Amino acid sequence: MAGDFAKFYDQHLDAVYRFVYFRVSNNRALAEDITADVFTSALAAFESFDPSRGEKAWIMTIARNKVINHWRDKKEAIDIDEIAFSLEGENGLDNVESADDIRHLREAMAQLKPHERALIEQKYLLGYRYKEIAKNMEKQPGAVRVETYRAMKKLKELMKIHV
Amino acid sequence: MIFLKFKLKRLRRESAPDAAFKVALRSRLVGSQQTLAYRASTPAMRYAFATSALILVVFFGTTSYAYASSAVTEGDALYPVKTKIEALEGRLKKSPEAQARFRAKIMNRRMREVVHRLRHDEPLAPRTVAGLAQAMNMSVAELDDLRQDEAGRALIKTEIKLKMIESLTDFRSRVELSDMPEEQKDKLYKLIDFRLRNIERIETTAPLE
Repeated sequence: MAGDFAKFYDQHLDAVYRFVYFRVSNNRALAEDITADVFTSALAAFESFDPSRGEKAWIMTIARNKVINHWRDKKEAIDIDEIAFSLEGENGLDNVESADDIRHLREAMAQLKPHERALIEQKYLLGYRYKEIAKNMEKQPGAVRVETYRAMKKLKELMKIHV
Repeated sequence: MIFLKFKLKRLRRESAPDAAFKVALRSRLVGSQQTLAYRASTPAMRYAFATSALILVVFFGTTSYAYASSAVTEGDALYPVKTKIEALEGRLKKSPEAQARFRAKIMNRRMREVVHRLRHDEPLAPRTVAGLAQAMNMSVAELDDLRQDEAGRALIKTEIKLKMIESLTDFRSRVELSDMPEEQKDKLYKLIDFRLRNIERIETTAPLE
């Protein structure tokens, strides 16, 4: 069990952190707090975890709930997928300093529809396979591949407008 | 599309967790367990590992109990385990609001321990009272230090303040209803009332509900 959790942690930490980071206005300290909370909860429940549910789906559900709780505690009713990639911090200032082209990319990402953004995020930022995304979205892998391609094309167009 | 994928790769790199954070969290969560797992390479080691694992299971079962239970109070053999886990938890709270919440939680835990002792007619050791006073001080100080530079944080500060007032008032009434000697009650009243006054003085910009 001990080794299993270490492996589990190594496999999913980056994806969980990025998922949280993009939903807390890129606030690193906050993302670290919430990520630590996610894995503390996962460790507590690891023994009773049912592997047939899928590790990634399980840890991402915990992460999702922790982010929702964070915003609920702040008394802000938000859709966490809607706010993903928003650059503006809670004080109205950007939380990160990025190179211009990456900033444009974030801005363009924020303009995509949540569904399109989720596809690109899962495929290119969180490192999911098409098969995994398809399972999450209850779709066929082929359909997900086509939709991701379309979302990327749209993102490319949005990037042109920004430049 | 190639350039876009290249930029996404950069964004992926930019949004990666800090290496120090990864190592620190890993060592806190699985460090000791991992060490045992690596050592089990020979039959003798496997036997030793199985024994250690058993001890670990017992240990972690015990630590979970120690951490969660109000029955584990100052003087109990498991109490140092409890406070160590709390300290570990505290180190994982990085944002000021998480720290303030954490301190308020620790204050509540100390108060619950006192209530448990009162319910079971156990005397309050001076160290228990000192621990309670320290938890109260740290909690009030953390709340006072919480800046209200953002609307959300101001709301959190107000919320923590209200909860602290509520739990201290509740604790006061439990002390009042207990059978402990009047002298001891007075000591606790002083502790509680002093902190209540301090908390009430803490400014919050969000409206009190």
